[in-house]
Amino acid sequence: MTAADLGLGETALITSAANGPVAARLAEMGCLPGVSIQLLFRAPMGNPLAFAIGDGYLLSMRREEAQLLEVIKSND
Amino acid sequence: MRYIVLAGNPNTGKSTLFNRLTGLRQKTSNLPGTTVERRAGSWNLSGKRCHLVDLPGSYSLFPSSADEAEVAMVLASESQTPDLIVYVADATNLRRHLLMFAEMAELGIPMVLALSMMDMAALKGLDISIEALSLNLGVLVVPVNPRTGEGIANLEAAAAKTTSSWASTADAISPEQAMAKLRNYLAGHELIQPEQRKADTVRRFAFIGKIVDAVITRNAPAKRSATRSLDRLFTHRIWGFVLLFFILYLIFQSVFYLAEAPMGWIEDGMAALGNYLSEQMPKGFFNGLVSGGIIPGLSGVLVFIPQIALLFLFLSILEDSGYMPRASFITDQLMRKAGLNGRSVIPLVGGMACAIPSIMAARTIPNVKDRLITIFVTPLMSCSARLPVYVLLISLAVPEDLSIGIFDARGLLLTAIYLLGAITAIVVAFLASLFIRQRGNSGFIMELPDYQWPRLANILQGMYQRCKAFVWQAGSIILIISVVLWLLASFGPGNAMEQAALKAEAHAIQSGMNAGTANQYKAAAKLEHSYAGILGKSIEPAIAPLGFDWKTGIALITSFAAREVFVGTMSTIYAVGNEEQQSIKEKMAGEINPASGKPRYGVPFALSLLVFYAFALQCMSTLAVVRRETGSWKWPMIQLLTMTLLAYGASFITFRMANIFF
Repeated sequence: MTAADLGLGETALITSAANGPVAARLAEMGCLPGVSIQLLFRAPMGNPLAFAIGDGYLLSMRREEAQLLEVIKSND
Repeated sequence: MRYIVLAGNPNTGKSTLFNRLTGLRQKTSNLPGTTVERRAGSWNLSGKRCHLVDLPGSYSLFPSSADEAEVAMVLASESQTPDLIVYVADATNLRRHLLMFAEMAELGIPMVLALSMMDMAALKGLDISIEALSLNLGVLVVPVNPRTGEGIANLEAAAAKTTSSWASTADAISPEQAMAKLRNYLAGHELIQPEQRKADTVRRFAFIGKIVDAVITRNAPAKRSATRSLDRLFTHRIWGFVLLFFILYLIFQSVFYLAEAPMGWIEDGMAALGNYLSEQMPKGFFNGLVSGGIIPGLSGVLVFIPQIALLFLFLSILEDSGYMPRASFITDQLMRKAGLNGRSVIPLVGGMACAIPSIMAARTIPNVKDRLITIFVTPLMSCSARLPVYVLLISLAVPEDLSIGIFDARGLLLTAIYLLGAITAIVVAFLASLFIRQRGNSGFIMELPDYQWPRLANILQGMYQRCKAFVWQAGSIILIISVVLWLLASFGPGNAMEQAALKAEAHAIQSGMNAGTANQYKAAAKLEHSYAGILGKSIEPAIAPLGFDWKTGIALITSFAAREVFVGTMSTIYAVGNEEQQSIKEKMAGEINPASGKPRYGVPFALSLLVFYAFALQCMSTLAVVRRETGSWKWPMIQLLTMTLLAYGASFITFRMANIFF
């Protein structure tokens, strides 16, 4: 699954990112394999999405961008 | 002189720190603006003056947008390599903030790390060992609080120590070597594939991660941040939009009402000063020049200040508090449909203050097409220079005590004209997006910083500098134009003015006018035959379909370079030949069209001119800044043509329609 498939409030671990410059940018913003990602809220029209990344800083991205991040749900 | 740059991610308190370090010794850019501009100042480092440059907030040396590219460009500048980088990092999110630090550290330029938000980190339960961090990174680390000035002396000591030890260390690379290394590095960037870039990022984060884990002790947070609860409200599917519109509406209403009284004082004060000077000075050329040209012109500039100050006050609060990114977030999807980007909201909202810094703020939009369209439509937003024109025209069109329901009719009309600009901007953006080719990736990867209380000192300093910049910039142009205009309006070819005055006097006696009306009639006849009158008359045929006469024509000509000149021009035109100093509004409202017997500047005229000013691109500075940002005259020329046609067409329709109703 990808980060775009997370439900509201669900947390997951990033496992890998797709190729390309957008994914490289996401990595620079801290979206790396092994980092936790939680969907906090969506914009009024369902897009873009707001995630808490790692230690809990807030990052917004569009659905298409979230689809570049492969995640597995964590068991807590 | 040593050359030092201040670098870091956005939202670190970097700009506040810059203000702290340079105080009032900074070169404010010519244009009133935000942090996107490059600011420079002098910083006293143990008795030596250093040149300090504030780089735009950036997440990586690999540029993803125009302002990030600027960071790389400054560092790789042919002429000068920095002697020192002061890197500002937010202690609450050290890991991500250290990425660009690591990228810059590889350049071999000496660095000092300033840690901000230590108090916030403590609230979050983070205990950072400064000594351990300093040892691991190999640079001096100084906790600072830019808001209170805590740690500034330590930062200065650390910077002085780093630059002097660098100069004496034998194995340090020379500035030439550092520059060569940097160029190679940046040239390499062009060639680096995204995969390589990602791999480098992963490698750097692994290095940073080890350090961060070693130096930070995590305790239970003392307090939950209010950010999550506030976001629930500000990004709510209904309340988010309601609040956005409410905030914007509140700003316009406040700007209109709070500024009203001080504006009145300035106008009355200047009128009194004009009267006093005209009585005290000997009659003649200079008396006329001062009381008829310079004083009304100055009054037209100074009267702006309350509105500009208020508008910038509110916009700074929105920016400083962290609300602006939320406004982008909730509007992104709508903006996309219009061919824009959520990030366009900041330039567009800023465009209501001034298009110039806002067009520069569009640099933060990573996508080339989105950025171009944002630049193209930003001047359609009603800027603060239009506000005095609106205020004057609205007061002509709408009676003071008229209200619709609980709303004041004047406030409503003002809101409507702002909405007209905004809606047109969206429509034009949509049309433009059909014609402009897509380049690069569209995206909305954006940090949502924690909400913060706006810093009063910062806001007041910004307000002061913007007002000062306005008075000096716009003021000098307006003053020159006022004087030239007074000359043009006071003199005419040969003795045409005298003859017109004699003829008018004869006509006045014949038709039995009272003394006051006769005087005004005579003054109007003289003005009509002055150089200014001839100029206005020559364009009258072109603007007559819009309901404008030759006096308005004069104002249109003089306000072509800068629209705020309109009110000043009208003041000057009406001061010529008028003995007592009335306010410009009273003079315009009192003028009767001899042909129809109705007020010359009635409702259809006011509405038509209102719409004209909403759309016309009368601002040389905007054209100049668009040229600079887009790199050619192509876009400013298309912009000028589009907006002029739009203004003419809309004004024509408005005048015809209004004539049916009024």
